[in-house]
Amino acid sequence: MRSIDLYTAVRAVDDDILERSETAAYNHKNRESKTIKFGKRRSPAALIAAIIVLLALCGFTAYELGLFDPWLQKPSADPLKTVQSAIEGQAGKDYTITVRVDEIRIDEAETARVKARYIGSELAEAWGWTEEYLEEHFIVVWAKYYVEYDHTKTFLDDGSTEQYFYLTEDVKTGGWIIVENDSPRTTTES
Amino acid sequence: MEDCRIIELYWQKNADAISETSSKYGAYCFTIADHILKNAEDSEECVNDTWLHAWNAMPPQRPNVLRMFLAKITRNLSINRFNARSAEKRGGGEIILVLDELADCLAGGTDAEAAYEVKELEECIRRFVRGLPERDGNVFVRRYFFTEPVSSIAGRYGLTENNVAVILSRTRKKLKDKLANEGYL
Repeated sequence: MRSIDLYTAVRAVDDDILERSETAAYNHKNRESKTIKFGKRRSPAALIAAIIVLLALCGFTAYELGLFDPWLQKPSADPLKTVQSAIEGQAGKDYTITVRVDEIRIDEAETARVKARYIGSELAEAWGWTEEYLEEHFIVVWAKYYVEYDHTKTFLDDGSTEQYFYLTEDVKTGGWIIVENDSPRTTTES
Repeated sequence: MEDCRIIELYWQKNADAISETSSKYGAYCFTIADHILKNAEDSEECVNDTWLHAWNAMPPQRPNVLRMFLAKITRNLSINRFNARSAEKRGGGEIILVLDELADCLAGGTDAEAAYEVKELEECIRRFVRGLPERDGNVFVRRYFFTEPVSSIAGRYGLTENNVAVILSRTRKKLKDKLANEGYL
């Protein structure tokens, strides 16, 4: 028997075990992101970064509990589609009257600026984003959209809105997901 | 689009099935091929061939897990291409290391030329992996099915590269014993 025959025969492994190996990886990534090893971090900068991550995670938990308002994302191989689906997903909220995406594009300059800010930062380290990862799998998308809300149900400002979305790519699936966004800049023009 | 909808498109012989599959799983399948072939052009061709094979396979097949169904097709096609390429002496990639490691399982066999049925060997491997502890099984398939580098596996599971190497070494030893016990060596 040749080693290539043995290697080929590994194709018979059951699908559920192959899936499990990916799910386990995903679970581990989540645990890794949510686990901050305070005992190993001694510098003030590291502590500040850890606090920022902790606050972010508190926010994430609040999202999960429905206390905040998460994007309803459909990760796509096209980052523009991911953002578009997230914005249009606002239409599914009970306080949204209408939403319309007017313009959307990858902002190369903002991508470079944010990337440079993240590379080598304590925050990137805490999230497990290496320089190589950020170089290849991080992007900033700018979008302009129009939204109207039912103000009996929400205090959010509506009108023509511009916003940046920060996305990372899942290297396994090729799907882009929104990991952060800046504050929306809204004017009353329609 | 959900996998069940994509499979339905294949069954309807709707060409959108290919574009939807390519959009959703193109990068995934490319990674599998590229780990084996380490050549973008060859890997891309294998991925395109994967869609063709999927098109021909559905119907009659209706896979339970579309991603793994595609992964297996891509892997098979990539191995075939690797074999053809090896004949032309254009080798390379992670698979060379993987094959060297698997050769450990075969070393010292009493009858390396023993006749065996491929299906029986595959069933032996299938049962072997299913019987492994979860972590060891996961590490094994990442290395010997997906052909991932040890460093990637270590990163994926939060292990050191040395941990991964030890797990793989012990698992190969178990596999070698199993192959010997079942008469393959």
